[in-house]
This record gives sequence, structure tokens and C-alpha cells, in this order.
Amino acid sequence: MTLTLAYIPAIVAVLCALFNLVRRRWLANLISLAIQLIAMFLVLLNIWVFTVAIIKLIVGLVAVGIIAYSLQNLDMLQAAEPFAPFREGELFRAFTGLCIVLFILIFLPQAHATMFPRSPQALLFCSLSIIAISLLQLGLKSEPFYVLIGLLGFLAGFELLYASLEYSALLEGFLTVIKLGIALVAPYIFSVEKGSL
Amino acid sequence: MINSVIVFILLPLIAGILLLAVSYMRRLSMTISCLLLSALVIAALFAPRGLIFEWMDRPYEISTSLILLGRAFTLPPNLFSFCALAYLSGFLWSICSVLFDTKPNFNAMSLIIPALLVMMVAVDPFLYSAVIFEILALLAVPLLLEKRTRSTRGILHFIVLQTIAMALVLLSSWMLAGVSTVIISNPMILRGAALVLLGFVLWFPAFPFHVWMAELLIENHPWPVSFLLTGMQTTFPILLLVFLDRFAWLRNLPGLFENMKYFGLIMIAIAGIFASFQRNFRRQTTYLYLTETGYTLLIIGLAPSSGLNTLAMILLPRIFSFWFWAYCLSILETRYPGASSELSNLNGFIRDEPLLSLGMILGQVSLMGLPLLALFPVKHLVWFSLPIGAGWEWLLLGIGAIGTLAFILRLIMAMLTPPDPLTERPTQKLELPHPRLTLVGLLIGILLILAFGFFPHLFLTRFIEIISPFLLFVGGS
Repeated sequence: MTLTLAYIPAIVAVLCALFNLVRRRWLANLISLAIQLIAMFLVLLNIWVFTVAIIKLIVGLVAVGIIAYSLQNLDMLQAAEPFAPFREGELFRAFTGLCIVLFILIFLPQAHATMFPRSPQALLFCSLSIIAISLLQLGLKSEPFYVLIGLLGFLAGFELLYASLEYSALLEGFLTVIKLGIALVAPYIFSVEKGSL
Repeated sequence: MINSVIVFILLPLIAGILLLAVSYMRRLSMTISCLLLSALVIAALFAPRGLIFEWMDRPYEISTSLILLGRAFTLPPNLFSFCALAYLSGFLWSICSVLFDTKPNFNAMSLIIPALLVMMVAVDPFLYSAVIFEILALLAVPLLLEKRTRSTRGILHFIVLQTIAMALVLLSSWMLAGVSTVIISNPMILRGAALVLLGFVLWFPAFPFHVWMAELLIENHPWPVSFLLTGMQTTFPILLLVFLDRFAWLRNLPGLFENMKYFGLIMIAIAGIFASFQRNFRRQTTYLYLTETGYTLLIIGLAPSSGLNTLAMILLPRIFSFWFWAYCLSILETRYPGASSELSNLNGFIRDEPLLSLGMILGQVSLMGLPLLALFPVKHLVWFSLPIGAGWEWLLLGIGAIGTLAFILRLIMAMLTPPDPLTERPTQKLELPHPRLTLVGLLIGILLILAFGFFPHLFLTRFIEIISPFLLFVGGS
């Protein structure tokens, strides 16, 4: 994959993360998270072989599926509204998210040279942006749904970064358990919020 | 051949997972978990430290290492005492769980959680402990959340902070890999050290990342929350020592121990100040944990001059004191479900519940370190490790003690004040499921708190072996 082509899935993943930061439609957010994971899988193919990288994608999609299923069961899944107008809070979050992405773009060459020289730049841009956007989401929103997808986003970004640094089968196993664990605690948390535990 | 990793980690872990399947049979799961936990405590305390023993005329050897998925788990004999402490806390909390109507999975979790805590200390390389603790944090969700849970804010904050800590520790461990003895010259190493220390600050949790503890204590039943927090209080000091032990250059960093000492003292002072203003006694429990974290950092900070013996000795009385305080809080939660935890709600309490009132006061003063009670002998040693002329150190320690004492006096005043019939709010009062057993537990707790204070030499010295591998970098021991 050439340098330019490698940036396309990275940009798609960052846009999906920005969408999840800004918009508040749960079904659309889950679809966006799934697209983000697929795009991150394409970025990961630059450094990992298909058979290993696909595991991360499958686990991520299963986690998204579990959250969607638990929301559906509790009758909490809102339908997507394609062209809903932006509210002030959403504009603020969009502006802040874009500022963060811009900041990362400016400091990317320096971070690449001094801290992560082995990581491809497109991967570094994608992972650092998603980590930062997810942290922003975790800080700005207190609703359990957004906290959980923020956590999944943060973990996906971190895993992408760490994948470029080293590989360990045990660590991959543990991270898989953690991602599935986050998805499996979602029904508990949603049930408490709804008062139906 | 017996393997310590299989006995002290895999066996309780698998047993706990299997018990989850039968957790609805409460008596059975409680009996199995208590029997297994007590067997593990006895095995950990009395296992031969020479790793060879004879049974029925046959020699047996204890192996201390196991390779799983290419990574080593090592549990040397000096950590057996730590295993004993971890499983003892599991036993103490599990055996009383039936008194407080906790969730059915509590007994299984009382096996799984200590096993994961021991696993964190045993895993090599050290970075995997971060991931194991993240799994433990996720297990806290089914352990804590139940019908009466008031909100999920605390548990979500807990998981978020632990996830960030995990990322920081994993990244820093990658940065620091292979630089165990290098002199500090590379900025990458300093960055790595900063990241891992920040990870520990989130883990402990140190000030100002302690807010989720208060939220957890307010939103959930105090029994499982205290179990989780006490397990963390016992494990993280040992993990910090493991980390400092691995990186020679870090422990030679100028001012590291001095800064750690002052950070600990500042935490003690802040916890005291916050406690003195606190009106909610469940929220105040956070400051008790924060004070103990401060003491842990203070002891490690004082290690170059005074050694680490006090750290090993403080763990057991601390577990008992927190167990006792949580026991009193849980009786309150079971007897007055949904009642507010404001001090004003305790008006006239000394007349209505004299023994429980005594227990609550005793639990607080024991954790404060007042003479003749559980934590006094060790805290006394810590206080006198500080130089006599050290003005700032004594001032910060004094602020912490005065703040905690102020809260205790307010607690006593609230209990002594008769309830005002005009402002009194009606609270639902239930019968305890096992009133006699609860009373016996309370009496045993009071006796143990006093026994630790009067006869510390009987209990504390055998745990000194926990810190024996870390003596290399401690001048005073």
C-alpha cells in the first residue's frame, strides 16, 4: 500500500471517531464504530498479516454487536436520523475534536522521529487521533453508552499503536478478553440505568 | 511435583469460575469458597520455604514457575505470605457475605479477585499486571451492580481510569524494556518512568484521582466495594516495589524516595482535611483509604533510611481494620436500607445501637492509629522513622491526624445527640437476616482489633518475608 493510500482508511477511522464524539444517535454511533474498526483493520494490514489482524476486527465487531443487542433487548436503541440539525454542544465538540486532530497532525513528524520511529506515519496519525478523541469523549460525556463506546475506541486506538511496537500472543489474548468484557458489562450498566436489573 | 502457581493462582481461579455456575446455591458456594480460601491461607502460611517436604514418606518438591502462552508466572516462597494475605481477605469477606445479603456471585468473586491480584504480582514481564488489573476492574461490574445500585457513575469512572492506567503502564513498559540498569541519559527513559509513575497514581488511586472511590461507596453496597479497595491496598504497594526493584536506574534517581515521602505526607494531610469537613460517613471511608495510600508511599519513601519492614507489617492489621469498618457499614446498610449516610442521621444512635456505635468508633480510631488498637504498633514505628527535627513532615502528619480525629469527634457527637422529633426523617428499619451471627462477628472484630494492638509480635513479624527480595535497594533493613 502506498503512503497516500494508507492514509485513506486512517482518515475514515478518524472521521468515524469524530462522528461518535459529536452526534448523539445510538444506532448511528454503533454503525460508525463498526466502520471505524474496519478502517483501523485496513491500517493494521500495513504491519500485520491478514490472519492475525482479522482477529482484532472480529473481536471488535462482536463487542459492537453485543452492545447493540443489549440495547435492543432493553428497548433503548434509538433509530438514526440522517439529517438532524447540529446543536450548540455538538458544534463545540466538533470544533474541539478537529482542533485535537490538527494538533496531532502538526506534531506527528516530531512524535514519529522521537518516540515511535518504527510505526508508520498513517498508523500513528490514526491511533493517536483516535486515542485523543476517545479521551475527549470520556471526559465530555457521562452517559454510560458514550463512555462504553469511548472506551472501545480508546482501546482500539491504543491497540493499533501498540501493534506497531511489539507483538505478544498473551497480551493479544488479554486485550481480547478486555474488549469482550467491556461489551459484556454493557447490559449490566444499561439495566441499572433503566432500572430493570 | 507441586507447582505454587497452579496451587495459588490457577486452582482458585478455576474454582471461582466454576462456582459462578452454581452461585445461586448460596450455602454451597459459600461453603466451598470458604473451605478453599481457608485451605489456601493455611497452605500459604505453612508451606515449607525450602520448597521440599515429605508426606507419607515420599519427598515432594514445590516448583515456583509456570510458563503460560510463552510468558512466565513466578511465585517464589517469599510471596507465599502475600498469597496468605490475599486469600485471608477473600475468606474474611466471603464468610460474612451471607450476613449482608450481597449478590450470589460474591463467594465466587472472593476466589477470583484474590487469584487475579496474586497473578498480577507473579506475572513476568511486569507490564502484564496492568492488563490483569483491567480484567479485575471489569469483573467489579457484575460484583457491584445490583437492583439497589443508585447510579453507575462510580463504576464507570473506575473502569475509565484503570483503562488509562493500563495503557500508560503498557506503553512505558515497552519504552523501558531492556534498560533495567542503564544510567538516566535517554529522554525516552524519563518519559517511560513518568508514564509508569502516572499509571501507579491512577492505580492506587492517589490524590486527586480518588473521587471514584467515594462514588463507589455511595452508590453500592459497602461490603463488595471495601473488598475490592482493600485488595488493591494490599497489592499495589508490592507491585510498586517489584517495579522499583526491576529498574535499578529508577531507584537511583535523585530525590525519588524523598518525593515519594512528601507525596505520601501530603496525601495524609489532604485526606485529614477533607475528612474533617465530611458529613457523610460512607464518603469519609474514601479518606481512610487515601490516608493508608499516603502511609504506603511514606513508608516506601522512608525505605532508604528505615527499611521496608513496616510496609510488610502494616498489611495484615490494615486488612482487619478495613474489614471491621466495612462490617459496621454493612450492618447499617442491611438494617437501614436506603437510609442517608449523613452524620445527622446517626442522632441517638448510641442509645438505639450501642454495640454497633462502639464498633464504628473503634473502627475509625483503629484506622487512625490510636494506641492499643490494630494499626498503632506499626504506625508508631512509621512516625518515629521520621527525624525528630523534621518540621514539615510532622506538620503534615499532624494535620492528617487532627483532621481524622475531628471527624471521629463529630461522629461521636452525632451519635450522642438525641434525635430531634421535629426534623427526624422516618427510615425503614429491618431485622438482620442472622442477628446473633452478626453480633458474634462484631464481637470477634472488636477482640481482633484489640488483640492486634496488644500482641502485635504474635501476628506481624511473619509477614516481613514479603519484602525480602527488595532488600537489595534498601540501606536500612
